Amino acid sequence: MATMGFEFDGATFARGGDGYEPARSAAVWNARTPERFPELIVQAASERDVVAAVRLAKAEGMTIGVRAGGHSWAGNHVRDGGMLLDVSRLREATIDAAGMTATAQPGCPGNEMLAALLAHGRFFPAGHCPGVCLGGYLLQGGFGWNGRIHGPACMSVEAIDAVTADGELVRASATENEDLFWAARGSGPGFFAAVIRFHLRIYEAPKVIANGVFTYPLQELETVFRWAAEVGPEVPRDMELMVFIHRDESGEAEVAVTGPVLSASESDATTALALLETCPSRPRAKLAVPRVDVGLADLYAGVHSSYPDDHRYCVDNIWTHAPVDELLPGIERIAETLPTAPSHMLWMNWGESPDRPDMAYSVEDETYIACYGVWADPADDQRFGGWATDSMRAMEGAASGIQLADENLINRPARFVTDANITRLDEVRAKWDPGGRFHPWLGRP
Amino acid sequence: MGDSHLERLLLRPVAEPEPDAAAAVAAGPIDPAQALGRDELDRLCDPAPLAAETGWCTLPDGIGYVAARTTMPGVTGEMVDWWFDWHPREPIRYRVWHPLAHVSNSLEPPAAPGAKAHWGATHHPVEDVGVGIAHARISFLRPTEIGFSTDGLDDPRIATIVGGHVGDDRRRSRHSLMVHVFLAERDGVVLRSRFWFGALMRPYLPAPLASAVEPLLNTGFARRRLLPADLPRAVAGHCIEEYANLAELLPDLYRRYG
Repeated sequence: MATMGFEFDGATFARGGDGYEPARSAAVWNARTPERFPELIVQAASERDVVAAVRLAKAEGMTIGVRAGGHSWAGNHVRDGGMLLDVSRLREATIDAAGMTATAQPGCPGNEMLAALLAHGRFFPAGHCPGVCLGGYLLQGGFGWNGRIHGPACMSVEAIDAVTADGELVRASATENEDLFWAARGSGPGFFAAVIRFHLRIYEAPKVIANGVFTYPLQELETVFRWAAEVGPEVPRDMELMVFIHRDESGEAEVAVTGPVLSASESDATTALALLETCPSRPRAKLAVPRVDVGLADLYAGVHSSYPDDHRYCVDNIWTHAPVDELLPGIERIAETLPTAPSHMLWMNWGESPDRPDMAYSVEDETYIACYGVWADPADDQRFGGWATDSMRAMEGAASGIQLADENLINRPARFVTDANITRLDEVRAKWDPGGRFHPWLGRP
Repeated sequence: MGDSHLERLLLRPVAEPEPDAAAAVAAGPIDPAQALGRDELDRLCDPAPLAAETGWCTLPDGIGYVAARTTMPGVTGEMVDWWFDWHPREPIRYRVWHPLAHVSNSLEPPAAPGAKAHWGATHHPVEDVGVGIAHARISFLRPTEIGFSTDGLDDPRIATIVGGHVGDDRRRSRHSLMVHVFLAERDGVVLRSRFWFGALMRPYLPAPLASAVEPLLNTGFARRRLLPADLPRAVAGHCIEEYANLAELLPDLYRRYG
């Protein structure tokens, strides 16, 4: 495809040309690369490349899908026709430790950003999963470390620099282009501009990082979930109480409880971790590690083992505040149908949310449940491909919505912002991207 | 990558048009009686004020009319003549002029050299002034070839005149007349731009065929069918923007590259 004289610092690949397929499949972390084929892939190597790419797309009448980290398992950014604008090479970050601010380009991995901040005694609620880059993460909300304290990470975005559908580089914040800024905080893969830099508020680093881990045989499932639901409201905000259903080394399904704490003091950490010992199933634990002091890298390594690279994924999720009695049948079904490791279910205690600023992000609830179907062999696509969707569909009646973080809108459209906010998002999009230059979500309620 | 100075200019915000001109464009169509006639081009060379220096409308015969006035301090006729020869030679130079609307350009040099480098040249700009991408063709001509009684070479009031016939490379047809008269001022120039869209409809075909079709196209019906209804307003808005932006850029570009 002709690039109309637009020049790029980075590489471009036309469909059917050399290097196209590697560039396309590398743009999606999920090894199941979607069967969707953009006409042109632009691997932006500079901010001006992003500007040139959007202007080229405008000139050629191309739609645009933007890839930062590519961790969207659904590959929302890989669409048929148009341009795949890959900004993963824009990974620069700056830190002003004294001023408590930072900036980051969209391809900056959250874990690398956080490691750099910790070296300065600073912190940002970066995503739990290593390799998740800030672009997609911050646009969709951003559920990360100490998110229960700092809120979804998009709350810490103070401004964005973005290229609009018209090809214009603009700043959007609470005081300029407010509607674009409003949309940038929560519209996720449906955002209608290409962000080239986020301006972030950062925080004091926690003093103590520790974790507790308990695993239980599947027979304890009901007891553990009843306990988790009961203690959930009392869990200090600096602990993330999570219950997993996964398979142990021998392939047996089990229940695992973890409670990473990122605390301001030793006593806070001790108090929080003590809570894990109160589970009535505690005497029957297969493994009990009441406390292990860890570094950030250890936390990331632990998470990474559940979300390996080069694997095939299908993921779905719900927010809920339904009583545990209502949730247990669905959770039991998930345990019964759980695919092979490292597939798993996550139950997370998000808790009651304080008042949030006005932003597109607007759906959250006390409990988050997500199913992650993970396998390596393409021959298992049929067997495992529908598990997460089916499991979450079976629990839809208890759901109040979904997170865009693990969205499965292509298979199961569901509410991800309030009805009022999706109406407003449509209005703001109509203003900034009247021609539909940027792809919307793969599905919507 | 190419020239890093030009690359930087691509990221620069486009200059705001003069508020009076922007207000005149936003005010809606002018009374067609205020439009300058195509047989009155010489009046553009007289600094005396004209009715509706900035405005747009559709004339009763379906021709889209645009008038736009832009003050360009620090700019000279020499710079403008240089610009119209220099910018079409690289797409990026054309993009710098208006990064949001201009996409690409190329130059067919004149068959024979004239007193000014742009006389007889053809540009192929690709741009979107707000009504979709257009693959235009502009044949720049001597002023006396398009209806002026003078080429303006020896008139101290006239810094330069740039004008010609506008057409569409994709639709293979000429359609319009465009003139830009740059009047000398003490500290720069004042630009009077005029467009008559649809006034010169003629397909890009061998002469006998084109002549046969020409009368069919130069009707109100054909013009309304072939030209976007919003074109005069869009071009008026674009014209005051692109020349306000050029006024900011041109003196420095001329110093660097001229």
